[in-house]
Amino acid sequence: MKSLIYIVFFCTAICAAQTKISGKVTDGKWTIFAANVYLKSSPETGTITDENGLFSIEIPQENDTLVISYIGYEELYIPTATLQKDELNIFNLQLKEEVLQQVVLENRDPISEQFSVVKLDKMDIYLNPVAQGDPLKAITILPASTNVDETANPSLRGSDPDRSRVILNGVPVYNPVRASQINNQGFFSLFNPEIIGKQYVYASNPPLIYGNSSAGLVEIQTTKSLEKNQLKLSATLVSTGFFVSQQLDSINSFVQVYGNYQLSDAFVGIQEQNLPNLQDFTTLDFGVNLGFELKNNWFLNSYTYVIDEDFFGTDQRFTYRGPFTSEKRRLFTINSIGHAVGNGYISLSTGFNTEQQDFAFGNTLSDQETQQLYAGLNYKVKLDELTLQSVVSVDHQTNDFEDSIPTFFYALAPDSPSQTSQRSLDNTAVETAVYGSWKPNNDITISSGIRANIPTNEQASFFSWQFGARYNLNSQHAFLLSGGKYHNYTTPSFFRQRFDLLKSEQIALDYTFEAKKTSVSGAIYYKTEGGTQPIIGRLAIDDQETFGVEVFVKQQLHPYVSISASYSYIDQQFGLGGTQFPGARDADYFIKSTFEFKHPKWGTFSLNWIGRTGTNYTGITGGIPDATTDFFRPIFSENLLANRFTDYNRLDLNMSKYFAWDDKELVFFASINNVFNQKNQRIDQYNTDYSTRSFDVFQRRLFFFGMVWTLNY
Amino acid sequence: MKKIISYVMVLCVSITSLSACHQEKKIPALSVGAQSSLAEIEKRIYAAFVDSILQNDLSSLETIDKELQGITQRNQANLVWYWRSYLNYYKAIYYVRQDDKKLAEKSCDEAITWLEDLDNKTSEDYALLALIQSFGIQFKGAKAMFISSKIKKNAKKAIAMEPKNLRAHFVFASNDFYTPEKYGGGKNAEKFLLKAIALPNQKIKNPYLPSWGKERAYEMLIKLYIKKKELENAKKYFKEGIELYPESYNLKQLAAKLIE
Repeated sequence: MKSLIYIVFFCTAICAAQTKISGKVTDGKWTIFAANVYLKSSPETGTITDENGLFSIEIPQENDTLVISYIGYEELYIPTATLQKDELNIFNLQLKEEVLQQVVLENRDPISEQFSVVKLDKMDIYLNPVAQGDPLKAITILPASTNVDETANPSLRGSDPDRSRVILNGVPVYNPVRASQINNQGFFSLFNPEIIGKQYVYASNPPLIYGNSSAGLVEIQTTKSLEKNQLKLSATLVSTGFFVSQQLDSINSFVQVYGNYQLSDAFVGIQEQNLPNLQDFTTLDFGVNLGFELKNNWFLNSYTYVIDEDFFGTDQRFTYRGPFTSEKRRLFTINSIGHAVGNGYISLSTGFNTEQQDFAFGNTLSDQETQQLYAGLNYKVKLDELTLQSVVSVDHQTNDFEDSIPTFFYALAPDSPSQTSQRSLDNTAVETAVYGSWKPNNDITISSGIRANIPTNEQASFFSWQFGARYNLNSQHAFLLSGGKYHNYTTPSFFRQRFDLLKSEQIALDYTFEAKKTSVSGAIYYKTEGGTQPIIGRLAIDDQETFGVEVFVKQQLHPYVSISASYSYIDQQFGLGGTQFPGARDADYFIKSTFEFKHPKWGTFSLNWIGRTGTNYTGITGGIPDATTDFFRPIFSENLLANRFTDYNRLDLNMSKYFAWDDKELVFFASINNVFNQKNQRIDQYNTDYSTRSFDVFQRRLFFFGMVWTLNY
Repeated sequence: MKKIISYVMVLCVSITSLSACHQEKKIPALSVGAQSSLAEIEKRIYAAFVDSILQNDLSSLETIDKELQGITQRNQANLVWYWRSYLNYYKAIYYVRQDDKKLAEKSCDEAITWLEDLDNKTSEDYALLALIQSFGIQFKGAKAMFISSKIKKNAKKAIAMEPKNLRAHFVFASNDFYTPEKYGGGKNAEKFLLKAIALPNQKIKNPYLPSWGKERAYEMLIKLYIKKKELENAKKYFKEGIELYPESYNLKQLAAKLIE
C-alpha cells in the first residue's frame, strides 16, 4: 500500500513538473512538415510536426534543450527555459550551407530561359547530327537558323548575323567564329563543347537582360561543375589537341585547360582539286576555364581564350584574281563573380577582348586593332511567383584601322592606285534594364522587360521593350508568344567602319510538341528592321520587312533510326528610294533534313541535306575600259538584286564509332561534306571586260576524319 | 548487356525482401503529432508494389498515388513530391515487369522532372533522383553514356550534402556496381557499400522520412563479394544482413549461392 502511495505521488510529481508547449516550424516562408522535435536529454520522447508544421511536446521544468531537425536544414537548439508556455512558439530553420550552395547554383540560371526556343547541353551538342561537336553549328539544324554563308556565325530568322549576339556568361562575344572573312572559313566557332554547361537559343525577341541585339540571341553558360576528371587527346586530318578537366577541392570547383594546333598540309594535300582557293592555314589556340566555389556562397568563373590564325589563299574580286593573306591574333577573357543575398543573386560579369588582324589582297591592305571592355552588374531576386532582374552595363569598344584602300573600287591589282586611310572609332554603350518574369503556376509564365541607354558622345537615345507569354497546354504542348522593340550597334569591319544604331520590331508565335518518339515545332513571325543598313555598296536602305513560317518534325522510327525535317519560308523585302527589293535571305524554301542511324555496335551514321533557294545579287551587265587603271569599270544592272544564284543543295555524311574499356574511351569519326560535289554558287565573277560571268562556289566535296582518346580518372 | 543489367535491376528491386522493414532498436522513434496519410508511406508504397506484382494489377499503387495527388493539392512540400517520385519509381519497375517500357520510361521521366524541379533539393532528393535516373538509363539508348555521368554527379552531390546519408552512398555504389568495367565501373562499389551499411537508416526514426537502402546495400555487397570470389567476406556480411533483415527474400536467395 505504501508503495502504491509512493508511485501515485511520484507520477503526480512528474506530471506537475511537465509543461506542454506548442510550436510551428517553418523555413521562414513555408511550414515544414515531418520535422523532428525532441529533447536533447531524451530523444525517444520527441514528436514530429504535422502537415501544417505544428507540434506540441511536454517539456520538464528543469533546464533542457529542445532540438528541431529536418533534412537539408541546420538543426535548431533552443533552451527550454526560453520557450513560451501559453502561446505558439515559431521556429525558423535555416537551410544547410550545402543546400544553399545548390540553390545559388540554380539561381545562376537565366531569368528568361522559359522564352528560349531551344535549350541545349553538352550532350545535345555531341549528339547533334550536323554540329560536328561545335556549339554554334549545333544551332544550324534549327529552322530558325537562316545562315546562307556556311559559317557558324548565327543568322536567326532572316536577320543579318551582326544583329544577333552570342553571350557567354553574361558577356557578349562579337564575331564568335574563326577567320570568318575568308572563303569557306568561319566554319567553326571559337567555343569548345567541353566548356558548355547550357546553351539557350532565342530565335527572335532576345531577352532585354542583354543588350546590343535586334534579332536573336545565343546565350552560353559555361559548366558549373565537372562530371569527372578527364584527359582528352585528339588527332584529326588537320589538327592535334588536348583537353584536361580536373576537379578541385569541391564538386563545383574545377579547372579545364585545352589547346589545339591546326595545319592544313594533309587536309589540302589529299583534296587539292576541291580547295582551289586554299593554299595553307595554321591555327594555334588555348583556353582555360576555371570555376571556383568560394566560401559564403560566392562563386567565381573565369574563361580565357587565345587564338592565333594564319591563312594563305587565293581570291577574286571583280576581275582581279590574286593571293590573299590574313593573320589574326585574338585574346578574350570573361570573368564573373556572384553571391547569394537572401532570395537574390548579385553578380558582376566582366569581359576584355583584344584582337589584331592584318590582311592583304592586291592593292588592299588592312591592319585592324580592336579592343572591347565590358562590365555588367546584375541583381536577380525571387519573390514567390515573381522573379525580377535588373542590370547596368557598360560596353566600350575601340577600333583602329590603318588601311590601304583602292582608289578605284574595281581596280584591285597590287600596282593599281590606292590611298592610305587611318581611322579610329570608339563607342561606349551604357545601358540599364529591368526584366520581370511572373509564373503563377507551372503552365503560365508572363514576362516583360525594358532597356534604355544613357547616351554618350553623340549617341541617340533609345528605349527597348518586350513582352512574352508562355502557356504549357499540358506536358506535351506549349505556346510562346513574344514581341518587342530592340536596338543594337553594328560591329565595325574593313568594309563598314562605323558604329551604326540598328533597330527592329518583332512579334513571334512559337509552338512545340514533345512526345516519346515525336517532336514537332512551328513558328510564325513578322519583323521590321531599320537603322542605317548599307548593304548595297554605300546605299542606305529603308526598313526591311520579314515574314516567316517554320515547321520542324523529328520522328524516332526505330530504336536505332530517326529522321528529322524542317521547312522555312521567308518573305523578306526592303525599300530603297520608294521601291521594294527582295532581301538577302528571301527564300521560297529553306529545307534541312537528317537521317540518323545509331547502332551500339556498328556506330553512328547520319546523312544531312540542306536545300534552299539561291540568294539574290545585283549582276554586272558590261564594262567600260578605263585607261587610268588598265581595268574595265563595271556597269551594274539597274535592277537591284534581280539576279539569283542557282538553288543550293548539299548532302553531308557523318560517321562515328565509340569504344570504351577500363577508364578509357576512343571515338573515331569521319565525314564527307557535300557528298555529290555540288557547285553551289556563292559570288558572281567576271572576265576582264565583264562580258562573261562565272561563279565562285561554296565548299566542294571534302573528306575529314580523326579520333579522340579519353582517359577518365 | 544493357538488357541483362535492366533485368537484374528489376529483379533485385522487385523481389527485395518481401519482408517488413527492420526496426533499428538503438534509434529513438518519435511519436506522430497528428496523423497524416504520409505516415509510414515508404512501407505502404512497398506493400502496394508487392501487392500490384502479386495481383498483376497496378490498382494498389494507383490508390496511394491518388492519395498523394490529393495531398499535393493542399501541400506542395518537397517531401510530398519526394514520395510521389518514389512511387513512380515503383510504378516504373512494375511496368518493366509487364514489358511496357513506354510507360516505365514515362514514369521515370515524370519523377525525374519533379525531383529536378524541386527548390532547395536535399541530399535525400539527390539520392532518389540518382536512383531513378539509374533505373531509367535502360530506356535512353545512345544518351546512356551522358546520363551515367549525371547519375554520378547527383550521387556525389547527395554525399557531399549529407555524408551520413546511407542512401546517397548506396546509390553511388549501385551506379558503380552496374556500370560495366570497360566503362570504368566496379571500382568504388565496395567502399561505398561498406559505408552505407555502417550508417543508420535514419538519424532519428521518423515514419514520414525515407529509410530505404540498407537491406539492398547488404544484398549488393554480398553479390559483389560472390562475384569477386571472396566468399568469406560474402558470408560475413550475409550473416550480418540476415540478422538485421531475417525475412529478407533476396538475402535468403543469396544463401544458396554461398553454400554452393
